[in-house]
Amino acid sequence: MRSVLEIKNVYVKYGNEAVLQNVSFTVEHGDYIGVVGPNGSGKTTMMKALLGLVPVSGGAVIFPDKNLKKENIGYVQQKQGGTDTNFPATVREIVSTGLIVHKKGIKYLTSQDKERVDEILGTLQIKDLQNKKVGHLSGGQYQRMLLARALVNRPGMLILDEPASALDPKIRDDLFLILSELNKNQGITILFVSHDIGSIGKYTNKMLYLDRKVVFFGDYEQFCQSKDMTEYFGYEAQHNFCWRHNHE
Amino acid sequence: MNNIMMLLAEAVRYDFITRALVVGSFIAVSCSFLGIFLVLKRLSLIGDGLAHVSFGAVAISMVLGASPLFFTIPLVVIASFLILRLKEKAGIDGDAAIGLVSATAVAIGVFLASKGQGFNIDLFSYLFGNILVINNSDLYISIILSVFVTGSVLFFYHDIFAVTFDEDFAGIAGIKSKTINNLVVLLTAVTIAVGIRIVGAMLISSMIIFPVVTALQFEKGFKQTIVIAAAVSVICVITGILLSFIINAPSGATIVIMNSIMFIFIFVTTKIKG
Repeated sequence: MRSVLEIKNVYVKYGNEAVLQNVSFTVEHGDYIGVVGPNGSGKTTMMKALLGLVPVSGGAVIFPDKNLKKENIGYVQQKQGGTDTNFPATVREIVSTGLIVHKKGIKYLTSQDKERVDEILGTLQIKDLQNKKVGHLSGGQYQRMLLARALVNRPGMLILDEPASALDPKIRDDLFLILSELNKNQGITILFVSHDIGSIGKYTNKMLYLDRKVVFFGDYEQFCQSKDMTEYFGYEAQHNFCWRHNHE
Repeated sequence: MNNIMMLLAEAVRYDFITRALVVGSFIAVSCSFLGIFLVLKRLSLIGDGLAHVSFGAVAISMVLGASPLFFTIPLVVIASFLILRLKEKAGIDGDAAIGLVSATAVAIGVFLASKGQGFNIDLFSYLFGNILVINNSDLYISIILSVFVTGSVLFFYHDIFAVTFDEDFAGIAGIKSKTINNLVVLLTAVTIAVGIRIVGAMLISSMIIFPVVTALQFEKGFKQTIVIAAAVSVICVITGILLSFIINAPSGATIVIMNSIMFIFIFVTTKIKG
């Protein structure tokens, strides 16, 4: 497996407070990584740091694969409630942004671009919502729209920051299935941030447990067999999680 | 009715009325193009702050005997960047930074005006708008600057749209959000410096806010909202200027009252239609 993203000894500070301390891990092509940890553990900051949205105060974020640059990452950020209920844009306008922002010079959509927008709206089953205003969407529809915007430019990697937090279980499972298909069929590398360790375990192949520093990074078998993790989480929590991962 | 038509026909025969209609319409379009981004980014207040700065700048230019428009534009642009720097570098909240800069500018203007010729008709006309002060050079400058503002917004439309909806997403794609925000504020500064001739420093920010908020009631897409806002604004400017001539009222106040009536009418009718 070739590495597509290397995080080396990264520190991020907000004022004097170190939110991330000496974080290191490597993402390989085709990985589907669940990034978990308690609230305030630095998960969102980590994602923003590797996207260049938050400056790192130490260490490095490296994209070693020439086929994957920062601009080629699709990002779905945590929904900030009520920020855009009045925003006068349709679903199609927002999804089209995912293509048009990458263009140079005079920016416009070609007929091929429009077909691509149609295709991705169809894939995510939101074509009938294309003329609906973004403020009128349900939580699940809104997340699908953001996912469509992230996918429309055919990204090499997806970073999803708690995209399922506002969704009911059925829609959440649908979203997970879509992502699993993208990962398996199109080889898109995925980093999926969640505070819910149980719900993502059955879909992802690796886990990064962050609590300002890396507590665990590896596959689930390692996690389930790790005595350090038993000590960290307690036997019951570890056992419950590993049982769900293997049986659900 | 015939009397009103005769008055309107008489109004457009006056050069100062036609100049005001042309300048006002161009300013109205510029304000609407910028207003949608400022309102959605919750930066509407910067229009108010820069209008106060422009009043201070006009007062200073009168004391110095300089051309108000040539003096006001660079000063308001400098003030707009000062507000952004205070917000970004000094960690002062945006609304507080606007308050600091605009209050200082107005205070300097009032201080210099009182030490110079004192408040006169000219200065008051910039406070509340006076279409009589618009001359031909103002007309040409207004048209050129409005075309520049509108053209810039159209050229950077997709970048500005992306930054307005989601700065992080735009940033990852390589769009420099800070540059785009600076551009919008710069264009706003220029528009306000030009626009205070018509509606005055006290009321110019309403031309940025009212048409956009009125257009938002239709719940259309982004481009349609801009077009509706521009149309609403031009209609209010034209009816406001003509009405101010007919009833002998201040042009700025009349334009804003037309905007208020338009907003209430559209707000109520869209809510009734549900």
